[in-house]
Amino acid sequence: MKSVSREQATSDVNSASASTTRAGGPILSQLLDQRGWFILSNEGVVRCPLLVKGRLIDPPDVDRDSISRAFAALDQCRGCADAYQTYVAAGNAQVLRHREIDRQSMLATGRWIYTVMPSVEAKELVETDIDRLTFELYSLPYDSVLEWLRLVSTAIQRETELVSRVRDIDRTISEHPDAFGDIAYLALAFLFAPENATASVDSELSQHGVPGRRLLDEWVEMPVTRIPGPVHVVSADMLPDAFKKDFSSQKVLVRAMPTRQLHITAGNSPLVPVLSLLRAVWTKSPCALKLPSGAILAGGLVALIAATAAPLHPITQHLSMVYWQGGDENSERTLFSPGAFDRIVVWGSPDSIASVRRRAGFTKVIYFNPRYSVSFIGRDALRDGDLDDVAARAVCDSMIENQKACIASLVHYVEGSVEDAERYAEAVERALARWDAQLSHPLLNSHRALLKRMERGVFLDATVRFHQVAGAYRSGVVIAPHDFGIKDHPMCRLIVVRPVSDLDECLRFLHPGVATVGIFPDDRRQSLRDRVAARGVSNVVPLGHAGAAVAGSSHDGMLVLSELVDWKNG
Amino acid sequence: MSTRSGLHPHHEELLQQAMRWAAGAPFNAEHAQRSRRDALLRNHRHYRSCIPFYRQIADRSGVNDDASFDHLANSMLLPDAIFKSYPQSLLDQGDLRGMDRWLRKIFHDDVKVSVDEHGTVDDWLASLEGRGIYAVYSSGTSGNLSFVPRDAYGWWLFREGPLHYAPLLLARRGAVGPLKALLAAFAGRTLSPARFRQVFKRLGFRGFDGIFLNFSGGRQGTQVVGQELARRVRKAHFLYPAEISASAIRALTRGQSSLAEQARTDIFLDATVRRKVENYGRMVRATVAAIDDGQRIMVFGAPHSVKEFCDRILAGGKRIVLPPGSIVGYGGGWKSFAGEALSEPALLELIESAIGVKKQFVIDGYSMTEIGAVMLKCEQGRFHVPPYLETIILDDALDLVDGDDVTGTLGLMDPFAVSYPGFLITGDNVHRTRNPCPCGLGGETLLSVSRASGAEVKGCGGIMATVNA
Repeated sequence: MKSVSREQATSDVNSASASTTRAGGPILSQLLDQRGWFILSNEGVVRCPLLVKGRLIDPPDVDRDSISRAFAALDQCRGCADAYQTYVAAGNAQVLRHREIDRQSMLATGRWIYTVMPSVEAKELVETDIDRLTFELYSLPYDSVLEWLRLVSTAIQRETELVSRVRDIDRTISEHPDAFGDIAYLALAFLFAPENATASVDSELSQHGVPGRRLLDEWVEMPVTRIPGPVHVVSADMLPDAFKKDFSSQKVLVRAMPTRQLHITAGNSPLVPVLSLLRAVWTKSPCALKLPSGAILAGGLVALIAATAAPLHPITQHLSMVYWQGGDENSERTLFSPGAFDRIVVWGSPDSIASVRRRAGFTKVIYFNPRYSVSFIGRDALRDGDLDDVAARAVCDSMIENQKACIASLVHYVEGSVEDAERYAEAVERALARWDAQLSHPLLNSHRALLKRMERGVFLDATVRFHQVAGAYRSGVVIAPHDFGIKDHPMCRLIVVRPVSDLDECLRFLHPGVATVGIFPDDRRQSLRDRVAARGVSNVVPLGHAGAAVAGSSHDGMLVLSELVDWKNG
Repeated sequence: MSTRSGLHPHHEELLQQAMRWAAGAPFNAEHAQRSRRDALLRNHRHYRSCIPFYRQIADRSGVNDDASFDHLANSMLLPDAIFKSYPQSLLDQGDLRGMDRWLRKIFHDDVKVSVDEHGTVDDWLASLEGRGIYAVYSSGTSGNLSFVPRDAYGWWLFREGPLHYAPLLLARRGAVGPLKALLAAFAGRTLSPARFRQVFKRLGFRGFDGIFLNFSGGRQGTQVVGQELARRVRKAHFLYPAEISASAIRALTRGQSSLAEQARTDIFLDATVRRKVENYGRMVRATVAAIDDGQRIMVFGAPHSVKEFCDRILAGGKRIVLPPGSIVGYGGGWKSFAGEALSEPALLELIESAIGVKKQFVIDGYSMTEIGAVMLKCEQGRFHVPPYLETIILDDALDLVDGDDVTGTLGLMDPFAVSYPGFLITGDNVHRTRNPCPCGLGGETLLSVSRASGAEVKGCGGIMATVNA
C-alpha cells in the first residue's frame, strides 16, 4: 500500500464496492472480472484481494515468470526431505503456492497453484483512535451488528456463482476430502445468520439474567449491593455524611466493552478463520484477522463479500482480513507490541503458539492450543449386534475434519482383551472402508513417512493394518497393546485401538491436552464424566457427538466471547 | 558372537580399510562398498535369525535371508525410535522385568532374568551390565530415553572401532607434530588393526592431559566418548566426577515418580547447577596445572559445555592460552539443556579468544549412540564418513534417493551393530556428497547436518512430545 498507483487502484476498487452495496449481482461480477480476482489462470495463478479496515486491497500484477524465479531460488536450497517452501514476497505481492491435487486419484498432479495477494503494512492494521472506536463501533446498537450479519449472509446466499467459483478453485488445492470443503462453503451463509449471534452472545455474556447483547450496548444495573471496603470502615469518621448516605444508593453497573482484536487463525479446518471472525463481529469489536495459508481463498471471499455488502458499516470499516508469513519480524513486532491490541487470539501449530507466547507478553492472549481427542468404548459395546453401530459412531468422532481437528478422536480405548480389541478393530475397518469409498482424501508425503515409521515398528508389538485401494493408503487401524507416544500418530485417517482391562485404566492418559472424550455406553459416560473432566478434558460427550456444535457453549474450557470482551464495572 | 573368538575377519577387514583410508592410502570406493555390504548382508541374516522384532518386520515386508542389499535398503531401514519403543509406563512403574522383556525384542540374545523386579532406570542399566549387556542411552527433549543394547563384542567394537581411524584423522589435522604425523600415516597404511591397537594403546594420547567437560561415569552416549578418551590421556579431569544418572535425566523432563528418582535428581542438580561454578573453577585450575606441567591439553565436551568453560575463563579476567598442539573436541547437540541454541562460528571465535586454540585444532564429531562410528569434521567443514558405514538418503516420504550430491534424511547401515538392528532411519537431515573433499581425504562426506523437521517435536507438537496414550 505504498505506491501511488496501488492507492489509486485501492480507491477504484472501494468506490466500486461502495456502489455495489446491497445491489450486488452484476456489479460484483463486473468488479471481479475487471480486477481478475478469483480466476484461475492457465498458468495456475489466482489473484486474491485482502481487506484492510474495510478497504479491499488489489494484489499487484506479478508475472508468472517472476513467481517461478522466486520459488526456484528457494527450491535450490531445498533438500529432498524438506517440505517445499510455500511463500515468497515478490515486490509488493505475497505469493503462496499449493500443490494441485487431482480429485479423482487424490494425488498431486505436479502443478503448482499460486495465490497472489497484496502485501500489507502491519501498522495499518492497528487501531489507534480510541475515541473514534468508542463513539463509532462501540456505541453501535447491537441491532446494527445483526444488520451487518444479515447483509453478509444474504450476499453469500445471493452470490452462489461467486461462492462456487471460489470453491472450485479451492478444491484444486484442498487437503481435505471434497465433501468437507463443500460443506464449509455451504455453511457460510448459515454461520453469518444473525440468530447465531444472538444465541451465543446472550448466553455467553449474560450476567444476572441480563442478555449479553444489552451488556455490549450499555452500562447495565446489576441487582447487587455495593459493599464498603476496609478503607471506608477505617475512615468512617473522616468521610462526609452526604457521601456515606449516598454510598449504598449508588447503582452497580456493568458493561461488556468491545476490544481491539488480533486473530491468528489456523487452517486445520476451513471454518476456523470464519468462526474466529464471527467472534470479533459478535463482540462488536475491531478485528485484524490473519488468514491461514490453507484457507486464503475462503477468507478472501468473505472479505470481498463483507466489503461489498456493507462497505460503510462500522464493522466493515474496522475489519481487516490479511495474510503475512507467520514469524515475520517486521509485521509481528508491530502487532505484538504492547497496546497495539487488547486481545490476541491464536489458533494453530505449536510453533505459532510458542512464538506468540514468547513475544506478546503484555497483551491478553487467548490460546487455542494443539489438542487431540479419544474415545472410550465400554465392554457392553462388544456385543456382536452392537459392534458395527458403535464403531460407526466412534469413527464419526475420528473423522472430524478428516482427523485434523483437535476434537477428532485419535485413539479408541476398548475395554476388553486383545482379542476383543481385534474384533472391534475389524468393525472400525469396515466403517473406515465406507468412508474411503465415499470420501477419498489426499495423502501428504509427511503422512507417508509417518505411516512407514509406524509399519516399521514405532509402536512396539502393534498390529498394523492399512486399507489400501490400488496400492495406495486410504485408512488404517493399529492395535497397540501398550501405550505409545501420541506424537507418532499421523492424523491421516488412522485409528489406534488400545485394549484396556477397565476404562478406569484410561484415566491416566487424560490431561489438558485432550480436548474431547466420547464414551459409550452412556451410563459409563455418566459415571466417568466428573473424573474425566477433572483431568483437564473439555468435552465429555456421547460417542458420535464430538463433532456437534452448540451455540454459547465453551471452547477449550473457556466462554470465549467472555474472554474477548473487557468486563467493566461502573 | 563373542570377544573370546576374537574379531570377526570381516570386521577386521573393515577396520583395516578405515585405517588405510584415514592414513591417506589410495582409496577404492567400490572395494569398500563391497566389503561393507557383505558385512551388512551377514548382519541381516543374523538379525533375522536372532532378533524377534527384526524378524517380525522382515516377515511383514517379505524380506528373507537371501534379500539383496537394495531390498534391505528399501524395506528394512527402521526408525531410530525403536530404541525407545518400550511403554513409558514400564519405567514409570519401575518394572525392570518388563524392560527386560522389551529389550529382548530388539536384542540378539536371551536376556537373563534380573534379580530385582523393581527399581529405577539406573538400577536396570547396572543390572544389565552385570548380565553382560551394555546399554548406551541417549535423551531428547521428550525425556523418553533411547537404549541401544550391545553384548561384549559389540561393546568392544563401539568403543574401539573409531579409535582405528580417528587418531589418524587428528594427525592429518596437525594435532601431532609433522614427524609424528608421518609415522602415524605410515602405521595406518601398513600395520594390522591388532598391531595398530597395541601401538596406540602404548602411545595413545599420553602427551595430553584431558579436560573432560562431562561425567566420569554412566552410559549416556557423549559421556561414554569422554570416558573412553580419558582412559588414554596422561591425566583426566572431569567436570562432574560422578556417574550421570539416567533416572535424573528422565525425571527432569517427565517428572519424578519415586523417592529414588528424586534423590538422584537432587544429586544431578547439585553437581550440574548448584556446584557448577565450583566445578568449572576446578577445571580451570586443572588446566593451569597441566600447562605448568608442560602438557598439551585435550578439551572435550558438548558444545555448550565448551562454551561455558571458555566463558568461565574469560570471566576470570584473562585468557589462558593452551600450549601448542592442544586440541578441543566437541560433539552432541547444539542446544543447552535449557534449549539455548549456539552457533559454531561464535563458539570457534570464543575458543580462540579464551584459550588460544585455532579453528584447525577444534574437532567437531558427529555420531549417535546407535552406531559404532564417529564422523570428524575436516578443516574444509565436512564430516567424513568412514568407509565401513553405509549412508542412505531418504526423501520426505522416506523413499530412497540416489545421487552423488543429495540432501535428505539420513539413513545408516552399520556393520558393527551386531547385537541390535543397525539399519536405521535417523532424525537428521544431511547434505551428502561423493564429490572429492578439498582436504584430500576420500570417500563420502556430509556438508551439513541438521535436525530433521519434526524429529523430536511434531504432529500435535511440543506440549505433546512427552504424552503417551
